[in-house]
Amino acid sequence: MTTEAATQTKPLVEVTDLAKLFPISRGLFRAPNEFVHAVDGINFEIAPGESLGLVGESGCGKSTTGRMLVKLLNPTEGRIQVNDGDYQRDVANVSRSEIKDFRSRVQMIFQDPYESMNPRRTVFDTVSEPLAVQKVGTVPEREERVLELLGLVGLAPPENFLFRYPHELSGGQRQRVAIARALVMNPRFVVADEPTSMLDVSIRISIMELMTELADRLGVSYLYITHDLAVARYMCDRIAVMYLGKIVEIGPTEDILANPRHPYTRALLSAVPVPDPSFRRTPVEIKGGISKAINPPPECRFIERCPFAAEVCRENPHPALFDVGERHHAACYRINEI
Amino acid sequence: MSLVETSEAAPRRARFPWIVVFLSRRAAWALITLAIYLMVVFVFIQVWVPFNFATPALQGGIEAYRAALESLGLDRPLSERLFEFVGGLIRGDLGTSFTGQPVWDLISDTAPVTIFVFAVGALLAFVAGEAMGRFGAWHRHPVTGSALSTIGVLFTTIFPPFLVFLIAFFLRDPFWELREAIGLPVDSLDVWRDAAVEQNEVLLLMSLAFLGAVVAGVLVRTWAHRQRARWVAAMAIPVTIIAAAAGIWLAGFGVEAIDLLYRSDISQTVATGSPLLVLVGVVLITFGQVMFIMRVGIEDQRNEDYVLTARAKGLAESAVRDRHVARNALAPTIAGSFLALPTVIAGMVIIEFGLEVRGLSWAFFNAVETQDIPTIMGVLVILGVMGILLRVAADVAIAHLDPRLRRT
Amino acid sequence: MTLSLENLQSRRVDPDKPLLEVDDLVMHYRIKAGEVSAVDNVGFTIHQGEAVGLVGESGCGKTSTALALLRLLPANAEYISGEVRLNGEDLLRLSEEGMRARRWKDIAMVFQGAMNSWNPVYRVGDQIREVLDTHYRGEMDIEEQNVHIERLFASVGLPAEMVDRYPHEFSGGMRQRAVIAMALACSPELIIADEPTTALDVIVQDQILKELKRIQAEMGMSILYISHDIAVIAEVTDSLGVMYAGKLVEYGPTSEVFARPRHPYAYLLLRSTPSITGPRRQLAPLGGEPPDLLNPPSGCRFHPRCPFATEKCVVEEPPFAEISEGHRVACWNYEDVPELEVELVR
Repeated sequence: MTTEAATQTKPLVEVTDLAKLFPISRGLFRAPNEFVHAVDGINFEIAPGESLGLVGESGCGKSTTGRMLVKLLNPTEGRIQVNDGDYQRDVANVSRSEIKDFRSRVQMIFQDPYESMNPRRTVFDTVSEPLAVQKVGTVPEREERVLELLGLVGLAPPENFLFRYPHELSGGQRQRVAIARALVMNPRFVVADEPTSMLDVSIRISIMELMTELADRLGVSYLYITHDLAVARYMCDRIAVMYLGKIVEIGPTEDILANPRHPYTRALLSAVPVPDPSFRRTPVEIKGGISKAINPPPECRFIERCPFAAEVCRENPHPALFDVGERHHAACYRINEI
Repeated sequence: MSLVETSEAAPRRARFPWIVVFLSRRAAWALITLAIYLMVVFVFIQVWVPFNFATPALQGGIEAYRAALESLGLDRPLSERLFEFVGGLIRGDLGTSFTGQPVWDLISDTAPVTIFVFAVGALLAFVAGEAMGRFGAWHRHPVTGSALSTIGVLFTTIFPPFLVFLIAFFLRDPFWELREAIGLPVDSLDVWRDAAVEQNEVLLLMSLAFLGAVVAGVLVRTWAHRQRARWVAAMAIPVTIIAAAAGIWLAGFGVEAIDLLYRSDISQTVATGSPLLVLVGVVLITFGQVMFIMRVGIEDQRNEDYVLTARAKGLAESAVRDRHVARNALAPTIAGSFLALPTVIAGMVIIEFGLEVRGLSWAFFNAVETQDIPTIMGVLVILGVMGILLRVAADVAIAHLDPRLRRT
Repeated sequence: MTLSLENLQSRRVDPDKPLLEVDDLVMHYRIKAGEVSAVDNVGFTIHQGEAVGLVGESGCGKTSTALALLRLLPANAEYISGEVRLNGEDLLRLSEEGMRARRWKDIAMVFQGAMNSWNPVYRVGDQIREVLDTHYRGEMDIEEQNVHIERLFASVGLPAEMVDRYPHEFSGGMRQRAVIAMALACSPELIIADEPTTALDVIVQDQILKELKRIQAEMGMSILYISHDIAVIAEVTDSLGVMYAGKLVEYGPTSEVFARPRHPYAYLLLRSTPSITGPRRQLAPLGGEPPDLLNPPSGCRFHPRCPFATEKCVVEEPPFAEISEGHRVACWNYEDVPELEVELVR
């Protein structure tokens, strides 16, 4: 996961002005005039071999973004450019016939290991399904490949797991199977949506370690979606903090943790409990206020809750991302004053 | 998890009580559905069915046939017939039967019995089935649980209408002997000669009294639960039903009411179909289904978190069972039972017809046999309207029971 | 007896006086395949005004322990032995009626996933009223109840007009506050909070935890926090117990346990918890899976996964022994467990 490589080669994933608006129905005969701005114009890049964390609270748009990246949802606006050697496509333009090719390069790991696998399929069926769909290899070849992957994800001995059903596996084992399935086609890019939040703490680390090791070994890039900043710290080279559909801060992980510049990031960080009883957290600076993602007003999304809101914030549209450090940006007009 | 508000502010208060908006939405749905239904009925009866009332006239040759058609107005263009049909409906006129009588008269003569049997029977079955489901499912006792299951299965599957006939058949004679024993004259006309009311009025009175009794019973039960008067709550519904019956007796219609339970057509002197037996049949074929659905609902709800919270609050088991689990199982039970209604109606129709009770089904089958189109359509219209009203009533009941459904 | 929040605040708290004493509690679940040893010789004491935490992963028995205290276990649970003394009185020996009288009034619970603690068809205010009707029957009229309910709402920061709303009209954080309000309704001496903030966003979680701390201090209540989130436990508790496979493996003052965990499991748990502060430590994953409690391992239940296990651990179960004031550990080799900062060589 070297970041030097990132600046030299073309980014693997380039997201430009990505937006997703959901209309709110007004009944049978009226056109909707209200939209939920789930994702409202975000930009970021992921270099080959890099992992970016998408962090935020529920409703911020991180899951929606993830789904757009794997084409489970179509964006309302914007571009998602995937550059993988000869393959250079905008995800929105991937046609039906090209989708198989796309899915061999971009995959997803879901949050709930208990729900994301078909309970009627064996481990072998689940992991080999992408191969079957893409018509790769003969059945014995597929079996070999599945065994290889099961070994890779730490399910040993792999033969024992081949024909088990999901209900015979623990949560951690299921999630390993999910990872195996995601990796079976050798994708370049994997979107992981809270893959460890439903697992026990002690298992979490092994899964996280597995994912980092595989990233190193196979050169896979991640978009790691999580609400848990501590987990993001360990998994991600860079973090993007989202609030109500916008990216409010983005930068190298340690930089953001040590030196958060956006008021929301600061509030978020100060609210995270620390496993150290002697640690005194700084008080969380945030107001309770109404924040709507429905037809939001043009000014800064965070204005109702920001303890530092000032005239400049009210009079101007939602701020763009300003430079605050080495590849570190924050969307706030007052970064130099607070 | 909400994309809408991330604050802790309270949502807006609605301007009207929920039932206003709810009913108006439902009314719109009802009208649209009724319109579609009527259109389908019209097309089916007038267009699709090849035979018609004039067919017997074919025996006299094609000319006689055409003349018959003309006299019945069946040769007029479809659009004209449709217009007349719809126009009549709006005026409340269901047309004239090919036998000469106004359709409305025919229906108003025969419908009350059917309405009485259906209303009382279905409601009794629901109350009984709900109670049996609730008590039976709660303690998970192996013996009572299996016993109730067996009974339920038997009555739902193995006791279709024709078996009810058998029962009715065997009960018929003792039933009539009972009538003599209570002191009623064998001939109904003796009972009704001096009566101040008509047969159908008494039937409707009985139906309304029963419905009112059940509603009142439910309200009393709710109030009694609030006052923590457990025995009052348990006895509420039986007491109100008995009170309603007593009321009818005291109002002087007692004898007439009992007579109507024996026969549906007071001009008959033979022991024809007894509405009471049809009612018993309806209850028998329905309560099992309700009981099952209620049991499923109870099993479903008892594992919910709020049940544990209710126990943790220090509530007695009966309170947990009735006020929390059963209460939440009720709405799905009504919804599920509603889905079973076509079966119940079909069964009731067959039982009614088979036991020679002169109800709506008798009128309908007669009309079908003789190709009496206006009557057929009239009955179907009435059935459609009743069905839609029932659906709306069920929806209101469900929305009352489950506030989360009030916005639809 | 007039019930008001003012009465609560004057409660005197004697931090040395035990409020709830759990003594060698043993409890099984009976399933078709046999008996699951879910809670095995668990013992700890909660003092007046103290905040105690029970930490462990899924299946460790912490929720079973909590439910056992109030005798809210499912039908297939069996109490084998032990005592649960509230102010000296053994709750396990009470009649069902006696227990019901004490539920919520003396010990209230805030449940896991408080989203579903509410019956969806009744208004929130009426569900709180139900508690008052159950425990103060005849002592409060409707008006007094209304005033009390509104005060409860105010004490957790909820607007009074929400009292007549249905649960689905509340957001997640508000529902949690309402659950806390209901828990306070009878001014209990102890609140058991089972994963009170698990499904909540971190900023709301912070507010709820602050709220609980404030209430605890103002009303002189004790709280038993149950959580798998060590960071939360670190922040809000005075003492904590670590549970594994139905056993309490370590118990002591929170600061002590965190500074120097003595049981290997506690040690590994702390080492596998990522933190946003401090240096980016090397995390040590815990291999293997929690044991099947139908047939728990012999001797120490942790020995199959323990890097410090010796032969004795396989054969003999270690006693839950006191190693310093108020600090107990169940391990033969606790002295081998290194300091947290030392790199674990495996």
